[in-house]
Amino acid sequence: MEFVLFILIIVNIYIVLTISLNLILGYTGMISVCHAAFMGIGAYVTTILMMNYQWSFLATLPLVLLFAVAISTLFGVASLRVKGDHYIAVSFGIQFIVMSLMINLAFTGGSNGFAGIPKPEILGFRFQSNFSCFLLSLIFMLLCLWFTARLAKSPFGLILKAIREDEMAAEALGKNIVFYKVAVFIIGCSLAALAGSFFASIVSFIDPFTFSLEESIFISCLVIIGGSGNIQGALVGVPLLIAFPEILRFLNIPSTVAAPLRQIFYGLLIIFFMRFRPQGILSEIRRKP
Amino acid sequence: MSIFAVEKVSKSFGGLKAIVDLSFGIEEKTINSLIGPNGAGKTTAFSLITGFLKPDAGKVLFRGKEITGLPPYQIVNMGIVRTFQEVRALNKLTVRENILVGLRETHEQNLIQATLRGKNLGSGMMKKIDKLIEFAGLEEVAEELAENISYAEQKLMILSRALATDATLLLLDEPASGLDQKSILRMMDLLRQLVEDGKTVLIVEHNMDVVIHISDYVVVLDFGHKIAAGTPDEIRCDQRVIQAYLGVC
Repeated sequence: MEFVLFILIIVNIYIVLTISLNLILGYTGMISVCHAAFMGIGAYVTTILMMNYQWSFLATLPLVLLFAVAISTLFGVASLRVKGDHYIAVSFGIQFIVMSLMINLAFTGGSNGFAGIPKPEILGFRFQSNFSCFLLSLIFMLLCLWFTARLAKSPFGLILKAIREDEMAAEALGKNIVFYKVAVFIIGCSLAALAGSFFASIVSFIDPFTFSLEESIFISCLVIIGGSGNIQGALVGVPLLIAFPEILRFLNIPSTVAAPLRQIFYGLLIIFFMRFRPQGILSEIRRKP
Repeated sequence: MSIFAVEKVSKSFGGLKAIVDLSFGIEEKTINSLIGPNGAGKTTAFSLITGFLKPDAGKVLFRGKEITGLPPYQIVNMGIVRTFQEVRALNKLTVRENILVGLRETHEQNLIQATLRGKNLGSGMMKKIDKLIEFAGLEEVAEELAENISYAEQKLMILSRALATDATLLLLDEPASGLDQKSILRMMDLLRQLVEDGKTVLIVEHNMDVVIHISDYVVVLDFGHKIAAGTPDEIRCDQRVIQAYLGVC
């Protein structure tokens, strides 16, 4: 039961990562491979403040947001003003810079990262048990889901889709393309950073490799398989891709076989989806009844 | 005084002079046509006016203000909107959503309003969209994806979408091309109706019947130069125009 709760916590956090990337990738059509880096920024800011400066969990969140907004604004304004797909390369760069800073800075714990990060504490209540942490992650996920779904269905979300469909047409209708791209990048990356904060404090352990390029690409796969351009897709896609492979643990398979089996499972699933259901499990366009 | 004027505008692409010293003005509440053979620079002129290209020299004036070199979105917000020859429908959006994206109100909404209101547009925006759908006669296909409607319907849709921006000067790139005779007459009626409602129209058009019947004023381009301008009747008998383009009088 404890293990199931732990998996559900991870599912909740990855749902937030997936819906926030969906705004960038699925709605606006910007391919971004630095989502795990922003998750890492949140995780490290929260961890360092909690462990080295004894901040409370809640108090670290505004600073996490500030960091995420500052960094995404800097890179967003620099790269998104230029038309075209240069942004992919920039996001690749962000991913590597953040990763190498995590490994090499004096205060980030090197390749070992941090262990024994305090559990989240909100207004004097410490979320010690897995069940309470699960509830916390659930509330966090539902808040993010509400915010993202609202935004996605509003005219703002529609303008993002318009930019994806035809940038020039959107521009000719009076939309400031650069503003929308930078705004959605900041929103998506900030949510990812918050997810990283919850991840660090709840899981109690982080190292740089948790936030690698592979992880960023994995989150992109979650978006595509769940259904890009459909926020609810994450609710189906994430449990499938995160929880299902864990079932392998309950089968009598040695872990040396289980780990590669999981990789193979992901690989096959992605190929399967690209071939038979490229629009993902929940497609963007719902058919009329 | 002209509501809109282009003064000595030039644009080259490398060694190719696309527009050379182009000047013309248009009056409020009129229909104007920009004509000329293929490659004369008509669409380039549209792009220069609407900020998609920056002129090498010259000025673009709208309601007495200089708008040269402003980004497209600012020019739209000042009241000039363009459509494209190649339609540029937002395919995965419905007809209604296409028009909604055009609404000026959508980019005046801030993020907090957007989050709090979600898909609830409020009666003001809803009414405006319904009116635009009705204007173009798209009621039956309003909930269809833009990629699933006919070409003629798409042309009507992008006209409605452009109108949604509240612009008063409409630059329409070949509004009648590819349409059957009935749709062409329909489009001409709509354009006349727009002028009655206070809009000013500038079209690029190849169909001379349309140009002659609908225009108050015609500007003729050839190899980037303005070779004539005047009423349709004046243009029809202008020797240089006949040589360059029409071949009939």
